[in-house]
Amino acid sequence: MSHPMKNRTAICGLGITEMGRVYRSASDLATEAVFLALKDAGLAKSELDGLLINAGLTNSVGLNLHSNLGLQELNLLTFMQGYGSSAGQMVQYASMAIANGMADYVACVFADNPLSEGKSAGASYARARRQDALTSLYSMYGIAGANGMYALAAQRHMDTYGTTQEQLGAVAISQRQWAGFNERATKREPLSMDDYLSSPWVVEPFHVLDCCLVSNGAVAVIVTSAERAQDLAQPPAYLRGFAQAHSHDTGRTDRDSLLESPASRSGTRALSMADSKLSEITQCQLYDCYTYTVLVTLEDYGFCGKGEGGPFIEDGRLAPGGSLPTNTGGGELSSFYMWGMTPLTEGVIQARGHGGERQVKNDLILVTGNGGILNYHSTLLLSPEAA
Amino acid sequence: MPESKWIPEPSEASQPFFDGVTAGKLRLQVCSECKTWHYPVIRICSACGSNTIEWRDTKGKGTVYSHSRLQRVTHPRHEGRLPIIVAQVDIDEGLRLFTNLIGTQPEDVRVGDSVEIDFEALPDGGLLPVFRITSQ
Repeated sequence: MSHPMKNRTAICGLGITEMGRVYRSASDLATEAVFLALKDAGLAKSELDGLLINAGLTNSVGLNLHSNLGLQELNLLTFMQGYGSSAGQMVQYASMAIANGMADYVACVFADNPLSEGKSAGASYARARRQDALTSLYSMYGIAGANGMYALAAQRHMDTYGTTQEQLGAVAISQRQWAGFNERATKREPLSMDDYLSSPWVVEPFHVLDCCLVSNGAVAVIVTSAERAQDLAQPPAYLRGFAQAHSHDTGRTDRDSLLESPASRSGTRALSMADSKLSEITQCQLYDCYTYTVLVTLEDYGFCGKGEGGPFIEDGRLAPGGSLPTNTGGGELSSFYMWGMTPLTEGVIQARGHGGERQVKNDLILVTGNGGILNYHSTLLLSPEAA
Repeated sequence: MPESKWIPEPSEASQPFFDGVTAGKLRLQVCSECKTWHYPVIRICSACGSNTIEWRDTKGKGTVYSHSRLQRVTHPRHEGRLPIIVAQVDIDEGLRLFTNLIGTQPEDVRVGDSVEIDFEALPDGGLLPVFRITSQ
């Protein structure tokens, strides 16, 4: 018997605002994204009866969004936070609510505006935190937020398995190739291995080009039942499978938390719900806060063995023309950084067959979300067919 | 411990850690009930739920879990000293701690190298726990 949630719901609307150095409030961006998604789906605002909200780094969009949108008759409303796994999580909670009759059309929205005028991306994303005596030590050590943590993760992989700098670079280069086909991408100019290797270090082994962009913007998707989605303006992106898995890495040696993420558990459970095998996945839209995140996620899903990620990606497998097209919009490294909405956005575009020059086989699309330091994970399996 | 402008006054909760630093020890918390060691500072044991937690000196020994080279100044201490070797070390008590490594060239560090606790005298008077490589 198949899973009761398999193909029960679909994404029917997608709204993407301007991305990058757009100096507007996060709630205005979120409001615009929801209106864009409604228009995209061919829905009237009065039909929207659910709203799930996720704020990014600046944490400046919240429950009040429903009043900005003038929504007086919502049946579902909450603010959620699962960091990079939030986008996938919102779609999952929306699906469960819809399948159980709590709501018919649920908008899931993310907005962030860390960039401010006259400040670099890096400076914008480095938030001043109130320090106590113990956390002041971390500043002196130079543990520079997520950059520093993921750099430690990448170095452990390099020492343990012989992964090379060029193999990390292959991720940045292949995604830049994809970004060349995406008008929305922030960085489209071609990138060579020499460009990558000569780009400034942030924290070794990470060059600046191993790290994702910083973007202002908002994205909204609208989820509805599979039946309703068939009569709307866009081809449905069916939710064939989904799952979450979460772990923590707080100070203990009992998990090798930088080499193995909860993605493996999440992937196994989502594929089981979808009655699908890994080999049926025709493209990947992976959360790529860093080049290393792509590598470790591919390993954790089982596309290659643990430790084999470097050789797996170095030959252009993920690039245009490769056998496993990955992050076909350029991803967070080259298109824009909207947390988990970046991979989800491209997954929906691909499921609709609207990828234009970058459209690839879309039978089964893997969309992942990753938050914390490989702590929080969500999986969505999208398809244009409710098979 | 001497006054330091880089280290704020410890709270009641973290004072025992800094008393340990002054004594030349890496002093951390251990659950009195199930003997699980903890860091960062806790009030309830995440392993067994006990709230009877005591501070004890660790052996201060372990191995490198991972390492990186900081290439940008993010604190005045880094001026003129880049690259700083940032690391996580697994100490014998089962904890994974953030630190800096000393006693080695940055390019020579490998996962698994043996380390032990040491203390760097900060120019402003404080003491910073770091780990020294003992064998590579």
